[in-house]
Amino acid sequence: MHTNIPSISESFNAKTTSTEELCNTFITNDFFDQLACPNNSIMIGPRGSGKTTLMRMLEVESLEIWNRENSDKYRDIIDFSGVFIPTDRYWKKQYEKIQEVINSSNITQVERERMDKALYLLDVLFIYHVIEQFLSVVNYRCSRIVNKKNKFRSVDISKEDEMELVLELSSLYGCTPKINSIRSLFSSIVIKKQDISKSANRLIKGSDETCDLDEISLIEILNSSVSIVNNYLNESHGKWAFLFDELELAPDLIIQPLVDEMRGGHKDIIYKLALSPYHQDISITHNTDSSMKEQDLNYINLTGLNDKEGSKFAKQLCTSLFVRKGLFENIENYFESPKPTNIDKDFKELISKDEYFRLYLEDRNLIRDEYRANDSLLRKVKFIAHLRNYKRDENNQIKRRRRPADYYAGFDHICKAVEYNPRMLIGLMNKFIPIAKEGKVSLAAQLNSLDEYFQSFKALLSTIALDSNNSKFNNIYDFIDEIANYFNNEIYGVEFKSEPKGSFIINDKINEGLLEIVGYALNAGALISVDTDIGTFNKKKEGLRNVCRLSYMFSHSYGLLMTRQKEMDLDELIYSTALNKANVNIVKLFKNTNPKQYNLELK
Amino acid sequence: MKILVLSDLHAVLVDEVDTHEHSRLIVDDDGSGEFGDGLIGYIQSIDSKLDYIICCGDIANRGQSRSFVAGWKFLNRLSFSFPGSKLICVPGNHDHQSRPDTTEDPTGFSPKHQLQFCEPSFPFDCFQKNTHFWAWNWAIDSLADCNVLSLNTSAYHGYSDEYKHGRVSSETINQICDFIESDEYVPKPINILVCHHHPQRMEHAYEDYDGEQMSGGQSLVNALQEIDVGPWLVIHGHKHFACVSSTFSQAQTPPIVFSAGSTSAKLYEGIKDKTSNQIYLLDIDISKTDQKERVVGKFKTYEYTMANGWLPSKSENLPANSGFGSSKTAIDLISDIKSKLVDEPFLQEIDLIEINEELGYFTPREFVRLKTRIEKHNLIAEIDESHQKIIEIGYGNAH
Repeated sequence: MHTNIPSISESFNAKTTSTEELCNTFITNDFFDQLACPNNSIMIGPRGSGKTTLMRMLEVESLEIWNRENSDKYRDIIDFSGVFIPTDRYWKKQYEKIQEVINSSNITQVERERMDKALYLLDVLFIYHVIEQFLSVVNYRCSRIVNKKNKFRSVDISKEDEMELVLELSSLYGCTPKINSIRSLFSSIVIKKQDISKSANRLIKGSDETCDLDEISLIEILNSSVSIVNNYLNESHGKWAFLFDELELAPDLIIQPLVDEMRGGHKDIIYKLALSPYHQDISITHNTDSSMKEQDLNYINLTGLNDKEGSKFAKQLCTSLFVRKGLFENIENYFESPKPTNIDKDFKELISKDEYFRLYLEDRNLIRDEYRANDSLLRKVKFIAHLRNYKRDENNQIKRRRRPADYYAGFDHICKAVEYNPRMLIGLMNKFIPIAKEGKVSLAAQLNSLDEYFQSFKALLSTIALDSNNSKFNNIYDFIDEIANYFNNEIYGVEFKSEPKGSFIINDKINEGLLEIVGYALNAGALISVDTDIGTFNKKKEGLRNVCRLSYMFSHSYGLLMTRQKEMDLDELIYSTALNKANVNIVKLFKNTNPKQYNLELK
Repeated sequence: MKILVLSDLHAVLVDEVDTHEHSRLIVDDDGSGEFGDGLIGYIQSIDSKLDYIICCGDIANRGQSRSFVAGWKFLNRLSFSFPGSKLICVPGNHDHQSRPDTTEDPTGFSPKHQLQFCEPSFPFDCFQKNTHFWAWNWAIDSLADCNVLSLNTSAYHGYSDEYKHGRVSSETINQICDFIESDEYVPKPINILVCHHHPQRMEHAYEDYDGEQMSGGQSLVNALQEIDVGPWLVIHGHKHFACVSSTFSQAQTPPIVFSAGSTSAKLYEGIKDKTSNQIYLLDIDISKTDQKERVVGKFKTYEYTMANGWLPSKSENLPANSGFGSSKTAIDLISDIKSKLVDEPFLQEIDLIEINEELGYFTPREFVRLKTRIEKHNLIAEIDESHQKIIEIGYGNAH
C-alpha cells in the first residue's frame, strides 16, 4: 500500500522554486545551449514547457551556485550577466481594465485624464520593476558578503566607487537611497514601486493624484544603466542579458519597443524574450521591414518537439528525478511495457468484423494468410487497425467505457502524451516514484495517472470561458472536445480511412474570434503548433499559415493516434461540426463595466 | 548548553469539555492529544538535541488532579522524545489544591498530596531528592555544567489567601544558603533557579498592581548573590507574560530573570495582544558565562497561532531571536560603529561581525534602545529584526 499519495497538482513551477532547487534539478538540453548564446532570442512555448526554468538558469546567481555536471562548461562560455524579469499577471489585468474604461462611451474628460495617468503609471511601474531586477544582479555581482565559490561574474568594487555609482544611478532613477550603497538603492526602488502602484490604484478608484514623474523610456534607462555600471565595474564591454519571461502578460506598449530594439540596440545589451505561442498584439515576425527573423535573433521553439529530441530530454529529466529518490536503474525498467501489437491477430479480427476494412485490403490486394509487422504496405495502417479492432466488438459495434488501449502506455508514450512538457513530466513522475519503489509501474497505473492528469488538464481548460449561441460550447474544453470527437470519428467511423484527419490549418482568413480561441488553446497546451519555424502568431493575421494538432494528452481519452495525422482546413472542420454557426468567442471578463451586482430575486 | 523552556501548560482532559476553554493542551489520561503531539513533533523538527527541559509549573488547571497526572505524563513523553535530556520541573499554584473546597475530594483536603504521590514521581525521579523537595520546599541538583535550585513557591498554598501569591520563607532562604556554602555544593559555571512565581513584581505585564510575586523573592535573590558562587539565571512562569529582565542587585552582574510565557493556556484579555503562547530554546554559552561571571546566552522563541501553528515568534514579548548577558550597552555599540565609520563610508555585515555577535546577546529591550540610538546619532541602518542584527549601516544621505 502506498502511504505517500502525491497530489496531481504537485508539480514544479519554476517561478516560485528556490534558486538552489532549480539548479539541483536542472537538465541541460539543446534549447539551453541555444538560449545561452550571446544574441537576442525569442523563445516560444506553452505553459509548463520550460521557458521560465531555462531563463532563470541564465541568471548570474543560478550560474554561480549551479554545481552539477557541465556547469563549469557553461560558466566558461556564458559571458553575459543574466537579469531575469518575471512578469506579473496583475499588470495585464489592470491595463485591460483601464482600457475598457477608456473605451467606454460614457467616460468623462476628467475620468479619461485620470485613466491616462494611471496607464502611464503602470508603464513606469514596469520600468522600475526591470530596474529592481537589474540592481538585484548588480548587488549580487558586487556583494562582499555572499560566499561565491565559483566567482561567476563577481567583481570587487571599493565602497567609494560603490557610493559614486549609486549617486549616478539614483540620479538616473530619480530616487534617493538612505545610504549610498547598492543595497540601499535597491530598497529605495522597491519603495518607489510601491508608491507608484498605490498612486495608480488611487487613480483607478477615482481619486485625483498628481503625477510628477519625468517621462522615462525603458530602453533609454536600460542603456544608461548598463553604460554607467560597466564604467564603474571597469567592464567596458560587459554584456548584460535581460531575460523577459511571460511577455504576453506585460504591457504591450512596453514590449513592442523591446522587440524592435532587438535590431541593432545597445552593443552591450542582449534581449531574450519568452512568449506563449499566441500573443494578441505583439508583432514579432510580421513587421514588413523585418529581416530580424533570420539575422538579428535566435528563435527557440519549445513546442512540437520531435520524438527523438523529446524522448532524449524526457529520459534525462525523469532519470534525474528517479535517481534523486534512490532509484538508480534504467528508467524504462521501472515501467511495464505494453505487448507489441499483434498485427496478424488485429487484422484477422478486424477483417471479420469490419467490412470496410476488409474492402480496403481487398482493393489493394492486401489480403494475406498471415500478416507480418515488417510488411511495409501494412505498417501505415497497423495502429489504426489495432485501435479500431480494440474499440469494436464482434458485431462491429463501438464498445463503451473501455479503458484506453495499452498502446497509450509505456514510458515513451506516457512522456509523449504530455508532449515532453517538463512540468507535466515532473508531476507524473512524482506520482510514479512511490510505485516504482515497490515494483514496476503497471500499465494500469500508468494509464490511471495519465487520465488523472488529463482530468486536471480538462478542468483547467474548462476555466477559459467561451461565449456562444450554442449552449454546448461554454469553455475551451468544449471546443477541443468537438474537434477531438471529429478526429475520433475519422478513425472509428463507419468507413475505414487509411489516412484519418488529425490536424488542421489556420490561415489569414480565419475570423478573429476563432483565432483567439485557437491562440488560447495553444497557450494552454491543448493545441500544438506543428510545421512552423516561427511557432507564434498574433491578432495581426497577415501571412498567417499554421498547422495545429491536438495535444497527445487527449489521445488516450479519445482513442486518437499518437502521430501527426493528415491536415484539413479549420473552416472545413468547423463546418463539419456543431461549431458551425455557434459563433464562439472568448469571454472578456473585464468587458462588464457595470459595477452593480445582479439582483437576486427572492420569491 | 541547550534548554527547552515551557511553562503554564494548564492541561485539560479531553472528556471534560467544559474545561477546554482554558487551554490548548487537551489530553487524554496518558498525556496524548493533538496539540501536545504536534508540539513534540515541532520541537523535534527545530532541534534534536536538548540538554534540559524545564517546566515552571501550572501543569494542571485549577488543581484538577487528573489533569495534573495527564499533563505530567505529557511532559515525560516530551522528555522521552529527546534521549539524553533531563526534565526539570516545579509545581505551580494550579498544581496545588490551593483553595479550600467543600466538594467531594477522595484525597481529602491536602494541597500537595496528589503531587507527592503520583506516578511517575514528581518532580524528581530520585526518591531522596523528592523527599527533600517536599519536606523543605526546595532541592538542588548538581548537574554536568550547572547547579539547579528547584523551589516550590506555592508551598504555603491552602492557608487563608496564600494562594494569591508565591512565597519563600526566610527559613528556606537560610537553609538554601547554608547548603550552598557547605562543602556539599560543587560550584559550576552557572546556577539556575527554577520556580513558578516571579521573584519581583511585574506590573508592566498587565499595567496594574501586582501582588502575586514570590513573597521573600527579593530577599532570596539578594542572599544568593551575597553567597557569590557564580552567576544566576532565574526561570519562572505564572504571569503568562514573557520577558527578559534582571533582578535587584548590589553588584554589577545581576541575575538574569527569564519570565516564560504560557505554552498552552488561553491568554487573558490583558495580555493577549502583547504576547502569545510560546516555548523557548535557550543556548547558554558556558564558556563566556564562566569567563565573564555573568549569564551569557541566546534564545529562540516559538509561538503558536491558530492560523499557522508553531512558528518563530513575531511577538515583541518575546521575539524570535534575542539574548542576554552582553557586557556592552547600546551606546557602546553605537560608539564602536561610529569608530568604524571614520574609515568607511558605510558598513556591511562583513564589517559588523563582532558587533553583530555582541548584539546577539542583547536583551530585547536593549536592542530596542540600540535602534533608538541609531536614529539619534543620524545613522541609517537596515536591520534584520528577526535575527537581531544589523545588515548595513552608515550615515544617511542628509549627513
